Amino acid sequence: MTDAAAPPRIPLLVVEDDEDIRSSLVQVLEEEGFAVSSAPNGRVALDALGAPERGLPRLILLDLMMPVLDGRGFMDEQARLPDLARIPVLILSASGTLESMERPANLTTSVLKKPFTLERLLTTVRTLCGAPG
Amino acid sequence: MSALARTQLGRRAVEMVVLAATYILLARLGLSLATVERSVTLVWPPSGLALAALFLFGLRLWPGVAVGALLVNALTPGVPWPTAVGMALGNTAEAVLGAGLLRWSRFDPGLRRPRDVVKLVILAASISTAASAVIGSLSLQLGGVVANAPGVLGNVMRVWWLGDLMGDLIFAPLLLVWLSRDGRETRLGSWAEGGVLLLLLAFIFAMAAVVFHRPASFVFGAQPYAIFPLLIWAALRFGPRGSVAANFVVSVVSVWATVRALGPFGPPSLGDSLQLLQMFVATVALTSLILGATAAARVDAMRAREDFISVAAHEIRTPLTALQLQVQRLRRAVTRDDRAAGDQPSSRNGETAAMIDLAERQIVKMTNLAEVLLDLARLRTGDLRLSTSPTDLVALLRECAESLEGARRLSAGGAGPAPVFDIRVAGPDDSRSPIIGRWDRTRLQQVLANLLGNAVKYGAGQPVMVTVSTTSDTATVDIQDRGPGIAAQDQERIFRRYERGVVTGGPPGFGLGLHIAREIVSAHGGTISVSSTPGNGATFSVSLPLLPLRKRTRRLI
Repeated sequence: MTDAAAPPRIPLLVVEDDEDIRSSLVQVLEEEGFAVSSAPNGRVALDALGAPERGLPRLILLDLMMPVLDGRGFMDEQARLPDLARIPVLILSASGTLESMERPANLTTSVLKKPFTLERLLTTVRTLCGAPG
Repeated sequence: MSALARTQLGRRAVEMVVLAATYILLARLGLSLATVERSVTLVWPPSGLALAALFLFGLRLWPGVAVGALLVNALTPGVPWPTAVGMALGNTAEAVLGAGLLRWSRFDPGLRRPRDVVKLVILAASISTAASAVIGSLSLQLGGVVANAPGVLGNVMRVWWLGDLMGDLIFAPLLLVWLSRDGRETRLGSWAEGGVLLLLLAFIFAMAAVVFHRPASFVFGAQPYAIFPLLIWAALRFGPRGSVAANFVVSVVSVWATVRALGPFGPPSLGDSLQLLQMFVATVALTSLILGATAAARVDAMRAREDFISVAAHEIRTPLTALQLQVQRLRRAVTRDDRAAGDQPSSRNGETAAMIDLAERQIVKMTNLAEVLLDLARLRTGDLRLSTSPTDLVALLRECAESLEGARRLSAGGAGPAPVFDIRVAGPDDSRSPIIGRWDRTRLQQVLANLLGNAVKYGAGQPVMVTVSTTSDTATVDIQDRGPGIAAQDQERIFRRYERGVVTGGPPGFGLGLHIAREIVSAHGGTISVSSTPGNGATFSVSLPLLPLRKRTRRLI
């Protein structure tokens, strides 16, 4: 699958407080050819989105339970900014009760339950940002 | 003064007026029920109201109590106004002291622990009421309302004290428990449970009426202790909410009847019989409050344990995520290495791949374990929520079967063993036709995967026959293996928690799969059962309603 000529790298943003998970995600997604930036909580992520070096990400991978600004708070603020509200969010959650979770209505959100397989992660990410598999 | 401050002040004024008015209303009720010495009554509900109001809504509402008490006492015939002021002072001091002591002692108004009942009884009902009894009785004597004879003051004080005590014991808990907002209670109410509670209270009312409303001379009627079974039931089934409501019903009926000289405490004089009644109602109240608190404490402890399990399972998922990603990266690296080596993959890489396989299998086991623990915690707390949508049972079965076949192929080293599942849809027409009902897809998948997995695990390598059939309102899946079967005495047991079938040297497990499966199926309004002849395999049958399911009821305690 890596034989094809490299297409322009799709920018992604990973927001996750657990350092091991964050670096694992960055590594596997970079290996798959994405341009991945990361943030340890929602506040840092919003700051980074305010001054994007590589343009806005095509997809945000978002943990829910984080210090400073958690996933829900992040989405609330994201939904208020029209530029950011367009970016789809993939929620990565270890919580069992996601079906009933409230999310801002103007955001596109999907959920990936932790722990997930590499396969699941890549398929979901590719589908959500329309990347070729 | 700012607009906000004005609004707050206005609101507080309204609260005080409402409190004063309610106080007067209850006081008139109390006085009309049992007046001894004109101003002293054996049952004084306003004490309970004042205590609960100041505790729940703040001590700053005390002027409401003072005004209410002053008006009540001043309106009582034969009470001069300085005496009325003195009595109101006593009533107010009692409420402030009681509510203050309860706040100081970190009293929980939900009455969910026996220690809170004890705090209520000692700090409020016994100590704070003494203040009012002393100040009020002295005011009455100084004002010349009661005679200045030996023994009179003490008697008035005692009667006053007991009346207020009863108010704090019966009326305050009713308000404290039902008006306090408690995080633990918010999601527990349901109409069905409320209905059951009302029905039980109606029974208690009827029983109290039978016991207390018979003529006093009719000795062979129902005795007062006949009320206890129902009270105990209310306390154990509904916790503090049930016990305080039941206490209230019993005390209203018994006081109302006894002042009319009816029932076991009716004769001979009203003062004496009301004191007998007081003892009885106080005993009832204490028993039932303690029982209700004990029941609630147990429920809370159980819930705390389930919460812990749920948090623990949740915490396990996070490191598993990082672990799984890294192990899978490792596998990819090895595969890439192999590919680069071309036709001669090194045996070392083969070994590494085997190690990675093992690590991955363990991660999967760990993940499943966390899921099982979470499910168990949800079942115990009644939190198993179904999110139903139109689901095709046949497609779901095929999906589960395929994924299990895939796993088998993988563990057999890629060489495809014969498929083990034979899925058939009973019926004359197209066997591929879908069977659709409103079910929770993920949960149902869990049930089917568990049953199919068991059939493979215990099926001695023989094919497993799966039949799907429908009636007008039910869909049934029969999963028939040809393993050793299950002995009759084990057939019910295997659905319980931590139980497993007796298979010597069988695969290890928690013994929770079938239990969770049964809970999921019954949450759908369906049934799960097994039939088996030992030595001849076992058939597990799952029946699911094709019609929408009823809402499940939750317990109120």
